[in-house]
Amino acid sequence: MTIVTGKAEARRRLESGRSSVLRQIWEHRADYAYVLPAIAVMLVVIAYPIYYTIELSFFKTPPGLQLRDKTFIGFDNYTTILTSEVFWRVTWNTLIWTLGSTLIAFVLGFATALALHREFVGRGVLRAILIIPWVISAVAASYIWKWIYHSDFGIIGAVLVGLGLADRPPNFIDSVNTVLPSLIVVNIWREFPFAMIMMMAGLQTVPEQLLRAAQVDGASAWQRFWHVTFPHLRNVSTVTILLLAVANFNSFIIPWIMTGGGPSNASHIWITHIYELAFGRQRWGVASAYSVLLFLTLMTLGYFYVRALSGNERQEGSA
Amino acid sequence: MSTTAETAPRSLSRRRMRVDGWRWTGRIFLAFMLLYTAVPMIWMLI
Repeated sequence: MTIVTGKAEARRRLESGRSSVLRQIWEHRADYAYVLPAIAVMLVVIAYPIYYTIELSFFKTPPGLQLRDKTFIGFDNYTTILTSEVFWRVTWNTLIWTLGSTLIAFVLGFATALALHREFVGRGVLRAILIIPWVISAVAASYIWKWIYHSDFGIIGAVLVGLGLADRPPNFIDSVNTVLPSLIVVNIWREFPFAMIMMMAGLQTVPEQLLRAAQVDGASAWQRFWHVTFPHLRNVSTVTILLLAVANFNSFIIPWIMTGGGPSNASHIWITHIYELAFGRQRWGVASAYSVLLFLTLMTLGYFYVRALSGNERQEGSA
Repeated sequence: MSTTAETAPRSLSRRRMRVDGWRWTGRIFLAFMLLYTAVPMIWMLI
């Protein structure tokens, strides 16, 4: 009897909840009408491609056949991906690429922001020069660095040979061992200014009185940084790292233009591999399954980003 | 009395030297970053 009463109560609550949601929608019908066109456009340009990609990931799409001739194969594309050696190689590359680029770009950007925080002659000019790599296009940056790394005409090879550090100019982007670190250097070059700008903005919020009080109490420069400056920058650091991680995960232009994923898949990351599978080999099903995995990974990062942002807002609200 | 008077400036100068160390580290680091940023752009212009 008690159970029946409990069930009835739960049903009554559910129904009242539903009716209150419907009532609220009806009360705000004008607001919903205003956002309806935007929602419709989003459904067409965002929701439908996501749905179609997920659907396509369950089909076999042999090259040479039209997409309407695809055959349903369930989770076979996912099994093919997860059991292939290339997938783990590409995943490892993606991890090194994302973690390496993100962490080093963040550390360099943070250190530059700290060094530029002090007043000195020419600070504005230096700041402007350091921001330029972030402003120029990734395509231009890729071609510049391709020439810098060139084994015959590149400046790095010439300097190394000139200094007697190498007998002949090294093949930076033609060797499986050096290609990924070389690309990471280029990516860091383009992205550290972003971290620098974010951290410079964050440094403006550190209370000067606290730093002075710590100095009066005899705290060293390192202690002032570690116990006063850094705790104030924790949230902006989290947001910066997450934004850099998402951007690097999605990074396509630099690896694709500089190496096209080669040599021997040594510089393929997820996004370039997906592009090659879809538009190079026309394996739409496998490429879609890869895209779904990438989407889930990015959604996870996005979740942490939103959590970090809402944490910031809560802190600002309580302050 | 004279001991106190002598130690105070010495500790001050030591602290100043430490601050200078951080400042010089910052300057050298900025010079490195300027080189890292500017060389590719200059190479592009050449």
